[in-house]
Amino acid sequence: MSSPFARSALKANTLMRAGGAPMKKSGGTSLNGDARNDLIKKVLFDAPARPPVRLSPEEMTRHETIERAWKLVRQQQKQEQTEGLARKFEMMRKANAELEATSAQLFKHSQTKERHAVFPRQLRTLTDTPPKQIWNYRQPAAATPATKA
Amino acid sequence: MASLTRSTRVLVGMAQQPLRGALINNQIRFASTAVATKKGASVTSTKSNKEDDSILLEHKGDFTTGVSRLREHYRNTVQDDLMVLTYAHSFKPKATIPEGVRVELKGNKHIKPAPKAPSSRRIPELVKIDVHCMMKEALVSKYNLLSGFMAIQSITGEMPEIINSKKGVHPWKLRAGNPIGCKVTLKGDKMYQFLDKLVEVVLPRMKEWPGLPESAGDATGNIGMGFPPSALSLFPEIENNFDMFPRMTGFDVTFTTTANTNLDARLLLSGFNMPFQHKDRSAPKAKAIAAPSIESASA
Repeated sequence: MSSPFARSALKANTLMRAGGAPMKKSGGTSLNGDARNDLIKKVLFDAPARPPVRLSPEEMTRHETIERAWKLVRQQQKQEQTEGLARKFEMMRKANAELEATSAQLFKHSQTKERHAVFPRQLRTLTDTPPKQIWNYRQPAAATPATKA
Repeated sequence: MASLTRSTRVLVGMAQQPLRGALINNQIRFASTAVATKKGASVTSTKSNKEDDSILLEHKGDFTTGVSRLREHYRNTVQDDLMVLTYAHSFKPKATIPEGVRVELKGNKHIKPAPKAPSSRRIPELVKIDVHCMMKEALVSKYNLLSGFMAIQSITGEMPEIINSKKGVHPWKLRAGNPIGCKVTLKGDKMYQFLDKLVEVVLPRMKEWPGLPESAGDATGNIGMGFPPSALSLFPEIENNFDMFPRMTGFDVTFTTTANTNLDARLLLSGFNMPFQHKDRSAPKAKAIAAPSIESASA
């Protein structure tokens, strides 16, 4: 589905070719009569800058307040996140230390890592709404080395 | 695709809307500035009657909206799991090389940075994504690069920088300082958005792509991958105005992470649903030796 601009550029190309435009290699950006490069160059580099946004003082204070408030919310979320991670890490460290003291063999097994471990492909990233098919019950279990062992 | 998730549909819908700097958006910008300059005179004349105390809004970087889906996913799911999966209880710090001492390894090898003790603050995270394309056609004429430049800008939403060759290679007709490619570095929201597009829209549509190799990675926690020119047409931004691009070019994508090993980097990327190939390393299945004995038992 081509946009009206694409269609006009292609039409320009065909017209130029039909009109017997001379094939000159050093003709600026339009290579062999290709007007698309001209358009791309104009759009990318020669487009005028947007007019600057001007706000009245009340609007400015409103804007700044909103920005500060949002920054504060993000800061609090990050703080919460960091504290939660630190707590979990500490519990994990204590558990590992206890295991090390309890059984050397079990500890060794717990520390050996699988070299090609990856998250399962069925991992679902969060979306706004659930999928059409929540779970495929008929699908056979994914045959990963971990599950087979 | 009937099985498009809602998130994918949102992405495609977003792509169909003009991006900042996209072709169509710039056409609109042309029109709007023309109108503004025509009408602007009348507006300022009325405004100059009152006290004009408006302040210029200085735009510093991107305004964060906080709706980055994959970043939320990382913070909610992946980060915790990675902390556990990359934990090594028996960690011994390597002897640090004192300042001024020069150590040379045999075989032109580099000394890798010493790994640090595991900590809840040192969890593998995506830092940036580099998208780079090199076009051989730019040797013939530098304006051939415009197509790749525009394509990368449409895909990523950021203006790339032009890469000039450092050295000349005479057999390839390359001179030093020739513009030969373009590169863009994505961070933050734009990075997660690009990764989302790749994983949800582009990679599923790629024909006969088995996934990243099992051994992917550069041993310091970064992973790179390359795309053929056909992959460019799978992006929604390019799919919609395919005719505007004179040349389709391949490009490569490099994921830079704070991981220290290949395993950690792969774990991190797979957490974002990046598919990796996997070999079946289970024990070989026992042959059916038991069959004759069962038959004899039943008979």
